[in-house]
Amino acid sequence: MTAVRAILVVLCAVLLGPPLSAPATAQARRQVTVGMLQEPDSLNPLFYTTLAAHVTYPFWLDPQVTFDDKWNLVPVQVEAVPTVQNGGIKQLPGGKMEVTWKLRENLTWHDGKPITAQDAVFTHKMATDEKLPPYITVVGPAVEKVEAKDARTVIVTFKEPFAFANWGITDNFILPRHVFEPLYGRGPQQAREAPFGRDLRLTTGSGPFVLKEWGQGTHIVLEANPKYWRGKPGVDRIVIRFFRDISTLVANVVSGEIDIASPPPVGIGFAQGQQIADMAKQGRVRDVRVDFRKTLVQDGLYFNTESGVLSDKRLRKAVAHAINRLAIAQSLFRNGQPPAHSFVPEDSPAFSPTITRYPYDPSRAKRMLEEAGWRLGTDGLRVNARGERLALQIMTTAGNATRERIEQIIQQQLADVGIELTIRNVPSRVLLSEFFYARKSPHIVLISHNGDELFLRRAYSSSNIKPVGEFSTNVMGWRNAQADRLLDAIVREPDDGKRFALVRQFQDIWSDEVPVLLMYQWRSAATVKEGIENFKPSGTSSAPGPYNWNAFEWKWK
Amino acid sequence: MADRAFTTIRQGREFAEGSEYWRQVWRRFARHRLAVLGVALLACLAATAALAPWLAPYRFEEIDLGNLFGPMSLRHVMGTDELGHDVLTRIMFAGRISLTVGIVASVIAVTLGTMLGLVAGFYGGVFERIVMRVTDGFLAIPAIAAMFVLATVLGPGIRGIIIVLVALGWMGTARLARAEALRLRHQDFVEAARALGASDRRIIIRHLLPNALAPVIVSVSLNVGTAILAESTISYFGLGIQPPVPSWGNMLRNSQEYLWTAPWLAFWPGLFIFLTVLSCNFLGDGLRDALDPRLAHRGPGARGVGGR
Repeated sequence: MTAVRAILVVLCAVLLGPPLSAPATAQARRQVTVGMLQEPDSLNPLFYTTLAAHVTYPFWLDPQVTFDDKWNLVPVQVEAVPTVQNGGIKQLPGGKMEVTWKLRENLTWHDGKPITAQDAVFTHKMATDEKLPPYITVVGPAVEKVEAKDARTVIVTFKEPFAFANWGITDNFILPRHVFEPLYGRGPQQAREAPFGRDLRLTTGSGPFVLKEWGQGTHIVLEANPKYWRGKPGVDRIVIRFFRDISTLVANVVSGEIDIASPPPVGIGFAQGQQIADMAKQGRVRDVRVDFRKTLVQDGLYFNTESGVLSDKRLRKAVAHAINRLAIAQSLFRNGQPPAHSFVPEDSPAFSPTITRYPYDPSRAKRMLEEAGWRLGTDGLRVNARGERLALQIMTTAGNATRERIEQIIQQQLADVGIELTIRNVPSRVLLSEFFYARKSPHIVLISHNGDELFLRRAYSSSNIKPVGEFSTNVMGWRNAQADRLLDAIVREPDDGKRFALVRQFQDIWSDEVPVLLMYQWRSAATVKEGIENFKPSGTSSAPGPYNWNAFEWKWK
Repeated sequence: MADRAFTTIRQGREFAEGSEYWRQVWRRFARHRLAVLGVALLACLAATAALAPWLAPYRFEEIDLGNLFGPMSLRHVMGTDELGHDVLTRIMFAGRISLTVGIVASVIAVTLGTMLGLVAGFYGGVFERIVMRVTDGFLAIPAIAAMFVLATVLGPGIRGIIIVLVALGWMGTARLARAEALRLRHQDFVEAARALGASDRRIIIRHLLPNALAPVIVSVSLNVGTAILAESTISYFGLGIQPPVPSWGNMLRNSQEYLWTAPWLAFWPGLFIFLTVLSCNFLGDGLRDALDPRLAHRGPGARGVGGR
């Protein structure tokens, strides 16, 4: 009887107790697993150095504003984006500018303490401390002072008009003063070295999810913030898993282990997105769709305009005409990433219809080379009057398969017009030090380019050509006085219409001088499992949250 | 006893140096069918690679954007890749890099490791401890980080790859050789040689080395495949082979992206790496058996160049 009773008890437990499989499914539907190719090196927002950290923050830290999937600037922590029209941006006597930010009511940190204007003031103080150079300095250098008018109102005074004054109170997320001030008081370096983000006892955020666990080398776990000001997020948990190589990430997408494969720069690339889309059409991958988005990023050939043969504009133009960008886009990307003639899309009001274009025309390229004094030698390669061969070197980030393929295509196309091109690729960190610090630029470097106006000023203003050893963002040494004036005016013009007119003028000069030949417009690609709703990547990489700006809205059907 | 030891050594040496000894080695090797197959295979691979500039149907850097991922055909026997390169052509030229890197790096690394290990094991004491601690230190270095640093310092090219592979590949053999030296250094034949006035160098080269050859040869053959694959990792960091030059390793790496849509791009370089490693293993087996001193001769009183 005892045995019979035991069996009956077990049967009852199995039949009447909680279902064994349903909780797993139910749990799975309350969690989203994201795959990334890079792991943050640090989660201290002032000092991160990897894009992986940049894209992780929006899960657990709210920005003041963000770009949505339509590239509109929308408020997050603040009640409204300050503009000239709503009075949030005012010109002051003496050429200064004032921006007023109003934080939303009842914002709190994850530890329950209120988020106030003093947090913003303190964050700005740390970010502008000379002993603590932050990684990002876009807004900061233009600011004269940041003051708290009351607990929720922040007044930012700019030294002069600044076009991007409403991108944020500071360059970074507002950080908790009650966590950082004691450390900062012991010395600025303490704030820099604080294990914020690593030591979860010290870490408190402001976003829709709470940082719960960081298994270094493998994953990060975040759980829904039940007190989030927008209400509880649509999923209970986000698990971010890190993968060392793209094949493993793709395999996990195909096997269904990953719900979302993040888009570039830390996830799958456009090529992988195309492959997965093909596999889905063939039925080899189920319940996964690929999300392609336009971006403001391009890959470009940066020409060394400072020294070497490409300081001659005629040669740069000849090289531009010798490269068949359309063929590259068609063969490598099946037209999914079209050739870029400018750094803004052609349907943008900032696009100049009068830019100089460089259609593929090898005959014209040969003529230009002849006119510049480079005649064909007996071996099919060009030489000048001194007998020097026209031999160029190109560099890109080693291991980037798409760029390496583009280099090989360009090598063949330039050989067709008599230019010898040698490929020498290096790791990205080496390229950073050689290119941005030592300015040991080869003739051509193939790296990314951005369409936002702040990037343009960094990349093209001659004020950003620094001595060797310092960080130069105008790495190719391009100098043009008229372009400098336009770039300075662009970043000072808060009115969109007037600023776009200045951008169009800059494009005309830039395209004629061709310091950079843009190859193609990036499309971001991300995979998402069918059933996940509200996944809307923004496609921007310069603002926070390229794909997770609205992670609080994600949910399973 | 000294006379007897002297006679033993003299006869053994005479025998070893004699042509009869090598004839026997050759005969044992020739009877090892798999070793002969390994040699033949390796010779074919090497010949194909060496003659690639004359035999290959296309230039290895020749791109055909109108024929990407082309199937196997009469025009392209192994198909084309993601840039329209002829895969057969690239396989042939890639052999020049991969075989050179794989074999040269392995031989140098194993030679270096063997000599260090034998010397350390023979002398023992402080010298051995120093060598082994240096070995342990090298083993503790994370390989990927070390490759990255060396990549930065040495710059691109085959020379750099070989240096990196030697620097990171000698330690296992050093430990093996040291273990053999420890086992052999107090053997009778070594004591006898010492008693007869043989120098340390002579003892190490003439007596210890032949007896330690078996694991060393196996080590070489195993290292070849590792070296070929390691080259693609090094190229990934920008040290090694630059595009468009192919190697089997970087062809395999580039094919990873297309495993799901064009798996045949991984098949060909994988097959050639497999054949190379297999033939090196067969060759290694044959050499080890052929050179085994226990089988060296059957002469009276002769204990060969080292015995048990």
